[in-house]
Formats: sequence, C-alpha cells, structure tokens
Amino acid sequence: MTDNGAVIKAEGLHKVFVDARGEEVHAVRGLSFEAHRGEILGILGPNGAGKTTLLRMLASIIQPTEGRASVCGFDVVREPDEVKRRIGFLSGNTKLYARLTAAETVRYFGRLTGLDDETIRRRTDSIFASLDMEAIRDRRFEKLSTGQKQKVSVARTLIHDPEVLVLDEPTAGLDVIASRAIVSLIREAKAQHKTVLLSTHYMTEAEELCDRIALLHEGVFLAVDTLDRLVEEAGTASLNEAFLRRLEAAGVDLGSANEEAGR
Amino acid sequence: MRLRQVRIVFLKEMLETLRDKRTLMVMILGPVLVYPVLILVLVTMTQAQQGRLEQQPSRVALIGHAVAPDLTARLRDDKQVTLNTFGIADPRQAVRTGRVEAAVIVSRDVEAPDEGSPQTAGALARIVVIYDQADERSELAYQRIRELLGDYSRGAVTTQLAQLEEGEEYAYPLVIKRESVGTPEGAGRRVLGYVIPMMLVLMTIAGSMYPAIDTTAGEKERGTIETILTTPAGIAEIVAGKFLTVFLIAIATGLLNLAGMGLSLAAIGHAAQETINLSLPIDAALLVLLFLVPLAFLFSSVMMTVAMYARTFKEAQNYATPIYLLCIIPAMMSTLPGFELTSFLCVVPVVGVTLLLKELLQGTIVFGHLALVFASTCLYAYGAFRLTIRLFHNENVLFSSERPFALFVGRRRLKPRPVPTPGEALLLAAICFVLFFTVGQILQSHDLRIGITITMWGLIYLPAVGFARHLKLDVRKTFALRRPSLPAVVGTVIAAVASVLVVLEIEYVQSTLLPYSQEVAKAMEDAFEKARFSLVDTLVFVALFPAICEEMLFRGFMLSGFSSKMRRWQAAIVVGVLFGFYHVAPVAMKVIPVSHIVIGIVLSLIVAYSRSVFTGMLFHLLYNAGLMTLEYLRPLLDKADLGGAWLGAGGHVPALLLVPAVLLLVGIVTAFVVAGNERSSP
Repeated sequence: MTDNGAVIKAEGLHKVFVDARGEEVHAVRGLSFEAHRGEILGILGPNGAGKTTLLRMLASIIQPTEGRASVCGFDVVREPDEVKRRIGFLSGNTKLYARLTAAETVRYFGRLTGLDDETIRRRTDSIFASLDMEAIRDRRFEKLSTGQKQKVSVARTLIHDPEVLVLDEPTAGLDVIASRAIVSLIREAKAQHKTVLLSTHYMTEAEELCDRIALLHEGVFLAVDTLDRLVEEAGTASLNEAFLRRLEAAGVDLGSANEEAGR
Repeated sequence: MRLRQVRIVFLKEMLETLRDKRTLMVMILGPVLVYPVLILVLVTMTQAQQGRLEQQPSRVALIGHAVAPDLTARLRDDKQVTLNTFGIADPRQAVRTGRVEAAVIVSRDVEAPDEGSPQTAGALARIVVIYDQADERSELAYQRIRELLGDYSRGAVTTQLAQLEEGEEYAYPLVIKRESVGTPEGAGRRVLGYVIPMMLVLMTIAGSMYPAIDTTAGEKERGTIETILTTPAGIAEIVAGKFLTVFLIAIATGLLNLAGMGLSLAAIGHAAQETINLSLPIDAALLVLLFLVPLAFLFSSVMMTVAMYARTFKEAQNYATPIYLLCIIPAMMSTLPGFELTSFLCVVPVVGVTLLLKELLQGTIVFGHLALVFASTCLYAYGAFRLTIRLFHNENVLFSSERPFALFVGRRRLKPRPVPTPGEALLLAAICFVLFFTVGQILQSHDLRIGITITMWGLIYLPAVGFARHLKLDVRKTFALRRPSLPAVVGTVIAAVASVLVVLEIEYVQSTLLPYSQEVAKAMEDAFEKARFSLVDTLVFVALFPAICEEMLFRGFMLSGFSSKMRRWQAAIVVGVLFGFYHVAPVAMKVIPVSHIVIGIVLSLIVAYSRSVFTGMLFHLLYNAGLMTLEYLRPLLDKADLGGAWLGAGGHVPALLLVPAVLLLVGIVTAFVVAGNERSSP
C-alpha cells in the first residue's frame, strides 16, 4: 500500500502495440489514477477504449511502454509475482481447462500462487460451500453449464484470497443467473474491504456497484469521479447521458460511439 | 526458474493431455494396433494373392508352332501353362487386351537345322516372348516361359553335346556358385537401417505435433493462456512445464512406435529366419534411444515455436504441416542407398540424426560423428527452446488477434516501415536458397555464363528487391544504400587483400584434414574449364555479379532484418554463417564451409558497422577477384618459379605474409566495430 493509502496507483501509464503491418497502436495514453482500500472503481468505456490493456498492465500480464504502476505497493514491472499474488483477475478471456474438474482447476491455480495443499483444501471447501458448488466438485469443466463454469472461474479467482480484484467485463455475454455470481462476488469483496477494479460497458452495472467511475475513451480518461458528481457536472439525468456528453465534448462522432456506449 | 512451478504446470499439462483421446490415438493406437495389424494384413494378403496367382496356369499364345513341334509339346505338357496355338493374329494386341498373358513367337525352325548350317547357330534369337511388365499375371507368365525355354535350351545343348561326344564343360566352361559371408543379422541390420531411422523421425515429429499445438495455439484459442498468466508462474516456468509434456509425449510416441515396429518386423523376419533376422539388437536399440532424446527435444521446441505463432488450432496445423513435410525429405535419406554420413551432414538438422541412426543400426560407429550429431542436435534444440520462451514473452504473439506475418496481410493494408523482421529475412533466405540449389544449379549445368547471370540477378537480386518492395520497406535502410567514408573504403580494400591470404591458409589446413575439399575445388575448376572461362569472364561472372547480388541479399536484406532484433555483431554472425552454408554446392555437401563462414562474418561485420552495403560489395569483388586471379596466374608463377604451392592452397602460406594478414584483418574489423559503435552512441 502507498503512503496515502492507495492500493492501486498508476502514473502516466502508456501502452503501444506494433501490429504485423508495422503500425503503432497507442492503446492506453498516459493514464494516472489511484484506487483505495474497500473501493470499487469502475472503468467505463466502449470497445477498443483500452480497458483490457489497462487492466492487463495492472495485473502484470503485459508491460507498460511508459509510466509506472503499483499494486499494494509492489511495482507491476519489477515485482510481478508479488502483484499477481495479491490480485484476483477475472475476465471474459480467462477461460478454464475443459478436461480438468472444478476441484482440480482450483487446486492448480492455488498451487501456482504458492499455497500449500492444506490451505487449498480449506479454502476450496469454504468457497465451494458459499457458491453452492459441492455437486460439481468432481465434474469436468467441459460438462458444466455456463453458470456453473462462471462459478468455477470465480472460485479460481478467489482461491488465494486476493486483496485486489481486477474484473474485466466479467458479466459480458452472461445471462442474468450467471451474472448473479459475479455481482455477489463484487458485493462480498466490498464488504471484506477489498479493492475492486471493474471494467464494463454496461452503464447500469457501473451505476449499481461502483464508488467511483473512470470514463475511458481511446486510451484517455475523460473523467474520474463519483456517479453523482459525473451526472451533476454533465447536467444529465443518467450516467449514460453523462458519458455521451463527455464524448461529445471530446469531439467524438456520436453516430458510432452511441451504439457502443448506450447499451 | 522455480522447479516447483515447472512441476505444477507439467503435471497439469500431462493430466490434460492424457485425458485427450486424440493424443492417445496418435501416441498409442498407431504403434500398438495399426502397425502389427497393417503388417499382418499386408503380409497375409500378399501371400494369399501370390499363392492364388501361382495356382492359376498362365494363358500363353504360341505363334509358329508348326516350326517347333517339340517346343509346342513341352509347353502343352506344362501344367503352369494353358497353350493357345490358334486364332491369334496380332499377339501384341492380344497381350495388351489381356486375351492372353504372354505370347511366344517362333519365327524359324529351331528344331531342324537349315541345310548346311550348324544346328545351334542363332537359334535362340528367333524366339520372341511378348508380355506386359505392368501386369503381374503377365510378368508371372513371362517368368514361367523363360524358365521353360531355359530348360528346353539346356536340354537341346546337352543333346547336341552328346551327339558331338563332348562333355557339358564344352558349352559351360564356368560354374558359378553364390556364397555370401553375410549373416542373417547383417542382412537384417541393413533393412533396419533403412526403415527405422525414417520411421522414428517421422513418428517422433508426429508425436510432438499434436501436444505442441494443443498446449500453445490450442490454449490461445480456448482463452486459457491469459488465465495462467494471471498467476505468479513465470513465462519460462510455464514454457518449461508445457515443453516437458510435449517432449515426453514425443518420446513416448517414438518409443511405442519403435517397439510396435520392432515387434512387427521381428515377426516378419521370423518367417524368413534363415536369410534375414530383423530383430533389433539391444546395443543398437539403446543408442537409438540415446538419440531419440535430443531429436524429441528438437521437434518439441520447433513445433511449439511454430504453433505459438498461430491464433487457432487449425492455423497452427497449417503452419506445422509444412514443417512435418519438410522433415520427410531428410528422414527419407536413410532409405537412399549409398547416401553416407559426412562431417557436414552431421550438422544438418534431422539429416545428421537420420544418417547416424542408419549407421548405428548397420553396425558402424564413428565416434566423431556420434559426438557431432549429438552436440549439434542438442544445440538446435536448445536454440528452438529459447525461441519458444522468447515468443511467450512477446505480447503481440500472445494476445494479438491479427495474422502474425505481414506476408499474409494484403499489400494494400501494409504500412511502410524501415527494415524487415528476422522472420522475413529467414523466409527470403529460404526462398533464395531453394531457388539457387534447384533452378540455379540446373541452369548453371547447362550454360555457366547464362546460368550464373540468371541465378545472380533473377534468383538472388530480384527476389530480395522485390520482397522489400512488396513489404513496403525503406529500400535505402533495408539495403544499407549509403556512401561509405574514405577511411572505410581504404580499410575495406586492405581487409579484402589480407583475407585472401587468410582464406588460402584455411583452405589448405582444411584440405589436409578433409580430403573432400580438394574434390570440391577440382569440381569448380573443371566447370570453369568446360565453359572456357577467360579471366575477364571469371571476373565478371564470379566476382562482379556475386559482389552486387549476394551483397544485396546477405548484407542488405538479411543483415538489416536480423539487426532489427539483435545486436549488430550477433546479426553479423548469423548472416555470416548462412552465407557460408549458401556456398555449399550440393556436390560439396561433405565439408563445413569454414572459409566462407569466416569471410561471411567479416563481410557482415564490416557492413553492419560501416552501415554501407557498398563496402561489402567492394570487399566481395576484390576478394573473389583476388582468388580467381591467383588461380589464373598460378601456371605462370609456377613456370617462373615465383611464389609457391600455397598460392593454390597447396601449402602453408608463409608466416611472413600470414601473420601480418591476420593482424591486419582483425585490426581493421575491430576498427570498423569501434568506429561504428562511436557513431551510434549519443
């Protein structure tokens, strides 16, 4: 944790990819922000805004081209192992192994995080009981329903009891029942004073869960504030409209952006 | 690298792989069931078919039976033949249409002598047997007739000898009896040496292919690669765990195949125990296993590297299949008779192992070869393994949804960029090498002048410039088209002269160690002589053209490509070695081209640090011209008793010349490196 109590701290984070054609793509452009203990910070933005790149950098999965970031006081570039031990990362891209059972999956990730078998057993029992997963403990992942698969993913994310949850569009493509496991995971994390970084392009989800919301567009924050102040400053009735107003002010052609952000 | 993490990844990958039916099918079902069943079915069917054929008599037409009643009677009496003596107007057509399986034409009386001529003279020449060699029934009919005619002829000779009161030795002065000192084991080893290396190489690569794709591109496609990257397992640990799985599966597949094949072959050999013993001797089997380890290491790494580039399982299969097909050619080399292992072939990937395994199985062990093949295969395997780890560190390769190679992106979508990637440099090298060794060699064997011109400009220069244009590269940067400084030009000239002396010494030393290199030089001399090359011809075709065209490819495209991802000196070594091997003509596959590698590295260092391809062209021109001129002047110098054998690489270069030459060469190259580094430092 940093001096001012920030659990996540980013300073001038910048990421450039070079594609096969040799073209440079600036996915994230000099982002700076902090997230504190017990806070749910929403990262809101349309597809291609840079949400996934930002979260991957914070989780030490990819490295920033410029800038620095730390999680619980550990540098994401120099101390990736310490960062990863403290983060539970869940996204639409973090799929699981079809031929492993639920228990084997959770044990595998627990071991990689450095937990001993006894701790893994204890944590698995507790998580499986709270998520009502006992019946699927020894079922292979490929045989599970979408909702059950999501529960295994949540269990995998929580097995090492992380201090920070980084959730990248965790409910994208899920039905209401499957999404419920994620929403309760976020609420429970908040209750346990964990820090949650939640990226989404569902406005209602952000309105319902987040303490503060960062509006991201083309790798740049248009604003970072509480829901009330974002709406108040924009003089609109909803977050959706506030976001569109901000995009308009940034000179974005809303004809195309509206479709993405308005959902 | 933390072994605990590697073990965790490995155990999980193994568990997953062993739960995958497709892997098990390739690994176990093939060798354990398919081989024995296939071989059993094949042998049984062949025997049954052979038996059936042999039981049926051959339908044979006899034309001219009237002039050979005795022969007709013999054929008619033979139970293996059904004779047709009527109604065949066109015997060739009858055989072609299958009406009869063979036709015998007797054109003259072979039984009653012509008046006044000896009875036997030329009689045999008057019998023509018509058959169809593409038809196995017809082939069998021919064999039966030949045997019968042979007996008939021998009987006739015996009768005539009796009439002349001569013994058999009168007609048959030589009695030939076959006696082989070879044992059934030796015969068996010969067959095993042909079959096992090829099958082992192919099966090991097939065994590594599926798990390699599954653990890399498969994971990318299934979206599990990001999940493991969220854990504190390091990239090298993840790769090592996955690699161990692929490696073990490849070894297991190789072993099971070896066992399955060995047992099946032994079963066949058992049937023919007296002539051939196909069981694998234990010592040979152990040595084969020893080489299975680096081979599986190499294939696992290569397959993982290739598959890592792909975004999906199917795409990975598309990338891996050409590699598999590419390995079939070297794997087949064990089946080519008379193709033997040389020190050069020892270091050629896959070829070395294949031919060494053949040697081992056939009972020859050359320890130098053993060490060279083992060391080189391990080196390649380690290189490929390191490359896999590097690729896992590459975020573009891990997460990009784009096609990984610009080559597969439409030209219109390509953005201009300064220099090629190492991959593109390698691809161009591969294309040019293939063109050079196939089309180029054929053209040069027809007409050396036209051949060299087309090879240099059409197969080396054009592909390099064309590829750069296609990829929208900056031509000036890619080919280092910069005017060199005056000191660079002076340094290049001195270095080129010094290098001629150094190379003469290297060539001589190599020729004393490996007599083959003299053969190579002789082959080249002969080619020039045959084409009646004058000194001017030689300077144009062997010095000027290569100096321009080869430099554009090697010190232009390839050097800038490798330099984009490596330090300049590393890129120079890679390009230098490739340049060396490019100079190994197919006839010279027996030697490692030491002098060409040295010159290649020197040239690459000079161009890399002077940043001008023109220094390379100048060096190349002077160096080639120098060597060629010496070659032409040698008879004159010899006649005037000037110089010595060393001028033609036939003796040590005098120390008085060699030592300053080496010092100059090293000094100048160092000066280029230092000056180049100073220029690029801020």
